[in-house]
Amino acid sequence: MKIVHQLLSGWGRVNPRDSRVCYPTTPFEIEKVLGGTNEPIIARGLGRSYGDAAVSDAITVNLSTFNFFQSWNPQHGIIRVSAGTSLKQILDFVVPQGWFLPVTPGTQYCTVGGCVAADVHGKNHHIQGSFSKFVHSFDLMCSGGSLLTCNLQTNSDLFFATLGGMGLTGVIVWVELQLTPVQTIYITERKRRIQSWEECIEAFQEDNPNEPYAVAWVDATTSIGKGELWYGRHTNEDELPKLVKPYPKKKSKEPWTVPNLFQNSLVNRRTITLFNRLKYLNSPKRSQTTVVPYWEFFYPLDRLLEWNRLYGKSGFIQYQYVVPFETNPTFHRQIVELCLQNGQIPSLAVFKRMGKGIQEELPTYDHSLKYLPTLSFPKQGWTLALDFPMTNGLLPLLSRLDQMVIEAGGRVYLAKDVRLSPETFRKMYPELSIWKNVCRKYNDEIRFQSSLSKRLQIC
Amino acid sequence: MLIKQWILIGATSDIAKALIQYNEFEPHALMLCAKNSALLSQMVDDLKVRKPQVQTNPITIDLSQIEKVNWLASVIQKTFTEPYGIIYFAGILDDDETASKEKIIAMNHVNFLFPMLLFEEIFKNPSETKCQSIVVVGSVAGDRGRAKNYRYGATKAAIDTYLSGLRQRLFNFGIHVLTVKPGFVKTKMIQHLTKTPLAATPERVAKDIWKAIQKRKMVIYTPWFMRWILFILRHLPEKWFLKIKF
Ligand SMILES: Cc1cc2nc3c(=O)[nH]c(=O)nc-3n(C[C@H](O)[C@H](O)[C@H](O)COP(=O)(O)OP(=O)(O)OC[C@H]3O[C@@H](n4cnc5c(N)ncnc54)[C@H](O)[C@@H]3O)c2cc1C
Ligand SMILES: NC(=O)c1ccc[n+]([C@@H]2O[C@H](COP(=O)([O-])OP(=O)(O)OC[C@H]3O[C@@H](n4cnc5c(N)ncnc54)[C@H](OP(=O)(O)O)[C@@H]3O)[C@@H](O)[C@H]2O)c1
Repeated sequence: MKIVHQLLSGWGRVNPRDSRVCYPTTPFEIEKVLGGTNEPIIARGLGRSYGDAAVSDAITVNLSTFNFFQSWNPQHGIIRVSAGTSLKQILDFVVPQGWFLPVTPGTQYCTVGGCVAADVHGKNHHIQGSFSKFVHSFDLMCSGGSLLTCNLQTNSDLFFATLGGMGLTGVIVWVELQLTPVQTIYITERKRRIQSWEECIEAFQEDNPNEPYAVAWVDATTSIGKGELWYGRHTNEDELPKLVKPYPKKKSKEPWTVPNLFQNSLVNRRTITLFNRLKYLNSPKRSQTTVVPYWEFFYPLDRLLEWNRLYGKSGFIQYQYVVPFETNPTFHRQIVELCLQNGQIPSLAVFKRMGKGIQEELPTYDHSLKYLPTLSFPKQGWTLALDFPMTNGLLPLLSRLDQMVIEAGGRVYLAKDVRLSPETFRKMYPELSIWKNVCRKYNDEIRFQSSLSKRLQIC
Repeated sequence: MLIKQWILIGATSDIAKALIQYNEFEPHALMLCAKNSALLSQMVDDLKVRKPQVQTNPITIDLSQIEKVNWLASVIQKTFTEPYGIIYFAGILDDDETASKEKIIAMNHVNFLFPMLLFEEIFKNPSETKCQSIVVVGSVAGDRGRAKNYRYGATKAAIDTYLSGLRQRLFNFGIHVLTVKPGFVKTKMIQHLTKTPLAATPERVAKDIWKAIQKRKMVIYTPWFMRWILFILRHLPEKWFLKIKF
């Protein structure tokens, strides 16, 4: 198996590491990589996690070319794919047949393995839960090299430990997913302007199961909480105008690719302010409903490939936290205020509501346990994701935000993280010790390690 | 008439994989020849899901063993009684100074000798063969030798010249010969290179190949602008060429 040297980082391009990378395309080749060395190994998908979760200064197993369908049941919408298959490849195939992913993150350029390992959430988390709820089972390769089938019945402890386990329990090889039926490729999108954090939170609480998708963009160049809220639902066939076909052949436009030219960030105080002002001005004053193809609703950022290059060589950090519903609505305002006071202007802020996480659904799985052994991020509450260009002074500020989040009983998303300390991490993820027990039960040695796991002293 | 039966040689190449998945490529039957049998069977399963209507026939073969040429030619001739086409994707880029003699020989076999001997066998009698189209993925590296990859480039130049002659010979029989010359393509072949300017995706190249087959083009560059870059490169006086570094 060819091993090549690459400078690897996460999507935020912070702290690149010299890594030895291989690209296996069959389970047998993955096993050969594991057997061929004693060095630490970490799996990588399409590298869309922002931080150092899919980065290692030892061996990185890049699974993005291990992308194959294994079986498909079009009656029940059950698909079995290899872990390196991207969400885009699945959607391109299943949508014309009337199926959709029940949960999707904000990009379709990520792999199924990455979505399981980070237990990703979508704009419908408050209704549908996270990605893992639709995983029937997966096959995992642990340090021994054999494939273990994991689901709610078989190796269930390992199943949970791998959900949100950030690749540290082993390499996910095959995944069987449940899809959800749709009637068209379209989303009926409703937009409304919001004027404050209070209004935003209120708007989210008008529960409308008919509109399962809801997400807000907030202008975080001020702490007021102005912004825009998008609701969405899959459009039914009978709602389409006569001449519009439910599954037209049309495709999304070929995306543009940002060239790797910029030394300095194009995203700075001036452009951020301009962008946010324009975006707000562009939002409809009254609620407005339109019908758009699914990619326009779910994946606006995918129109520009490699957009992370806009942040120049120093890169950027996304800070995403979740805090319980009980938290005072002024919490988010205080967070933004503190950022602005410290001269750190978020370039993008996205706010969402989260429903129960898998930990909180424990009673439906097993009564005998206190905690499920999982590091999955989502839990009931409000989640805010803030993007910051990487500049001096950002890291101390984020450490202060950590303290506020911990006090509120919240936590930070590992798939976005490059800078948490081992201590703060432990306060946010009390499940760590039982998670570790499961990880050790199936791995006789600590084979799976990433820059993230070393930094957080997880293993 | 559009050919509906295709043989893909080097079927596990990333460009071949992209062609197989391209939705406008709708053959009735596919023979997939490659070395890695585990990967091949995974691809056959994948095809059963994606394009259940396609009949697939996997063949495991190591193309550096040129003594297998006759065997493959006879398998092909026995299998296909309807018009068919061959797309040759296989290639080796083993081009650093430390490459052993064995490796260089294998590279010559896979990139040049095997396809040449195979086509010689198949077109012994052009009026009788059912093979109506052949496509070979060459490379812009064959257009002018560069210090970085001239051993590889030489094999690609050889196949280019061979195909040009074969095209002329087969023209009167209505047999189509297409030479494909890609620039950098983001595939496993070039993962080890740090600088790959203007690299195209395998999907884009696969699409260009399929369009060129339908239009019965003879030589294509992909992406298209490579034609002009190579036009300039080929015409640079040797004196100047010596001095450029890339
Ligand atoms: C524009 C954008 C929008 C996003 N929106 C959201 C969102 O709305 N919600 C959300 O939850 N996330 C979101 N994300 C984050 C992204 O969905 C996750 O980070 C996801 O894990 C990325 O998948 P990947 O294939 O790129 O994985 P990578 O980034 O390559 O890896 C992520 C983690 O998964 C592990 N991993 C990958 N493959 C395997 C495998 N086969 N076996 C074991 N472990 C593996 C890696 O070790 C690593 O720990 C977004 C990211 C971007 C860039
Ligand atoms: N990538 C580029 O930048 C680029 C540029 C110009 C031209 N090309 C040409 O494009 C063609 C396709 O390459 P690619 O880019 O798709 O890379 P690739 O994925 O590495 O494909 C090359 C294929 O050749 C096969 N092969 C090598 N030796 C073989 C052997 N002895 N027997 C059988 N099969 C063998 C390989 O099979 P295994 O995987 O089993 O070894 C592999 O599937 C090649 O001819 C290449 O020269 C590529």
